[in-house]
Amino acid sequence: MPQTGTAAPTEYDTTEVDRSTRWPVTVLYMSALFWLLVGTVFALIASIKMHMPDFLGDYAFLTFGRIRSAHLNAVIYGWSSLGTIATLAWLVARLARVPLRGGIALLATAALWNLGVLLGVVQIMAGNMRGSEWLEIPTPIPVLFLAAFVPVIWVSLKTFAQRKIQSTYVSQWYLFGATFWFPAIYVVAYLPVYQGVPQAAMNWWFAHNVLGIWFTPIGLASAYYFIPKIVGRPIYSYYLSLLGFWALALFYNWNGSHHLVGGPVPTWLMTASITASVMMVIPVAAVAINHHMTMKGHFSLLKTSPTLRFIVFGAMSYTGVSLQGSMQALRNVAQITHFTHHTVAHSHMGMYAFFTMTLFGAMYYILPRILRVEWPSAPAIRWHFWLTALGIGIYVVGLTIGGFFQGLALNDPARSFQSITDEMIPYLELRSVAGVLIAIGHVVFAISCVRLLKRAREGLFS
Amino acid sequence: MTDPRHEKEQQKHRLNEPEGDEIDVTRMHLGLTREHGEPHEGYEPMPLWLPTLIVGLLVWAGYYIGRYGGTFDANSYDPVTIEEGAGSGNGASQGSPMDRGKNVFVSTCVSCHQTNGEGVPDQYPPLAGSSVVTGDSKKLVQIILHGLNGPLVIGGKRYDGSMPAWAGTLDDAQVADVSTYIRKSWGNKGDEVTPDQVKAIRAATSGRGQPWTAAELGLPH
Repeated sequence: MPQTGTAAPTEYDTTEVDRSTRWPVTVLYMSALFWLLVGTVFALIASIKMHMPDFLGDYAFLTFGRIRSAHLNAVIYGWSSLGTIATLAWLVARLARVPLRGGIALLATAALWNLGVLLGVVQIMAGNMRGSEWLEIPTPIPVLFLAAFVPVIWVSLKTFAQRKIQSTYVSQWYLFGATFWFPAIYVVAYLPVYQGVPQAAMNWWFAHNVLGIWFTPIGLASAYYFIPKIVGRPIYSYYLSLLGFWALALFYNWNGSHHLVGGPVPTWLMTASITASVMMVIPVAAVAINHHMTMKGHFSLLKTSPTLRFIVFGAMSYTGVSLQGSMQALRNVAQITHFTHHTVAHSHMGMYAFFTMTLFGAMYYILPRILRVEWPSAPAIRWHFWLTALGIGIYVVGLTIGGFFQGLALNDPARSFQSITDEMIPYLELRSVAGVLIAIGHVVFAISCVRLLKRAREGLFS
Repeated sequence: MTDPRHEKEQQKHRLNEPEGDEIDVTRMHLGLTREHGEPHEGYEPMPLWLPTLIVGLLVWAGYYIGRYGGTFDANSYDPVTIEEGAGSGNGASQGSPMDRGKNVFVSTCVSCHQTNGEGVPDQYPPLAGSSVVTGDSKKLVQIILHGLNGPLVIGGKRYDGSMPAWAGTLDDAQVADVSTYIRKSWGNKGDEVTPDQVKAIRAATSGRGQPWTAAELGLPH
């Protein structure tokens, strides 16, 4: 590893800090991994059904309507949210430079949250789900998530209060954003007061915000932490950090209604949402410049640091998916891309190419430090990266192009619906191939994690 | 790592890997024993093009909200389709009545009545072959202007839905064009409807605040 810049060695004992997060973060990450595998299986089944409709069609709980929602909830509330909480806990302690206060309470979080996801997914597969996307889990299960979130708020505030540093680094701003925004939107979304059009408006306000002000802040906090950390130089510009954070806080939560473009929603709401979606160019550009200028001249580190490789892949995807999102929100673009596979590619670019890849990067850095053992196999990490990167690449490119043609065809009154459906089959088959690559990548990663845990156990008890 | 089993395993990896491979497990994890300090921020100024871009975006945002804000009226809805080409958002004034009517149809009616005019079974009645469409143009225009609520029989099938009013969204020419279009498409053989006719009907029914029912218009229900 080349010596880089003037970075001081870590100026405090990270050992204690890392040890304080060992149990909660490991348990949260491993249960997240479990849901990733479950969600991947669901995803493959759903994907195959798109071009082989009879596949597993004899089981009610495996029909498309249920398995798709089960996939969504398993990866959103299982994998991504648990991974988010784990990353948040570790970063809060590291950024405050003190051991996690009350970290054991996060074990209760892990237990309650996992119970919530389990019950939720079972209910969905049993056909008992709500009619709003991203909010399928029926009441009263959401109470479990809210209860599980109390320790998250408590632990981050308590740890932050003990911090041993004057200035608060940009990652921490995003962490606090996520910590307080998520419970707020979740409670609001489940209020039993929406009917008709307001229900749809609230639904997409919520769904887009889960990505925008829950997962995105954690993804960005990770990128802001790991890029300068591994490169060993300060983040490029404080001013860009400020601009990026506050512009995101200002604009992102207006975005959701662009999902309803073309729907029976008042024009002003749509216009406000589209305008805010385009304004997202501001925070995205600020963050992209900040990260790029920090990385500049150090891209060779991508070869040696798996964390950096995943994180930079994620950060670049964030820029790409966000700019694409700003475009897609525009009425005359949405007119083509809306209700096509194009949108599906877009959402996976956000949740996978950006967020999930970033989370993998964070796990590659955090797990060996808190467990005090090394990753068992470098080739396994390489396989994991290339399988998932290639898989999601094929997925996004294939469906983006396919969806675009689909949208054009759907707008052509001369085309029959059946002929458009037939035309989409090759793209959907390509998606399943991409899904298999991603799934193999996940299995490789899971094996790495299990071997790491084994080593840690031997290390701890010997 | 003091555990001999780990050492053995690591040796195994070294043997498996080609000499000089860029990823080496021990090198990769130098951070375990030595990592850089916690990140902090530099204070480089932002590049000048970014504030320029932001000002440009804000100007655009002002224009867009003004142009498409619908005066922030809760009852102002999108015309659904922003036509390609600037300035044609409120209906092209070029082309034949059929072409213009088709534009209105595609942006306003198609989501329920479908591009082929067949509607959706049990939900939205067909326009193709419908006597309501090809019959008395006055009733048709009245329905388009003020909507229709409740049971209606078309082609022997009973529908019980509600069609919204378009008086606030479509002007006389648009209502005339779309009426002409649906009266002459999909094998329908009706005559043209003119903007003047629509204007007269609109004036005559201007006090109407709610949708019609089939009974009021003397249609089968």
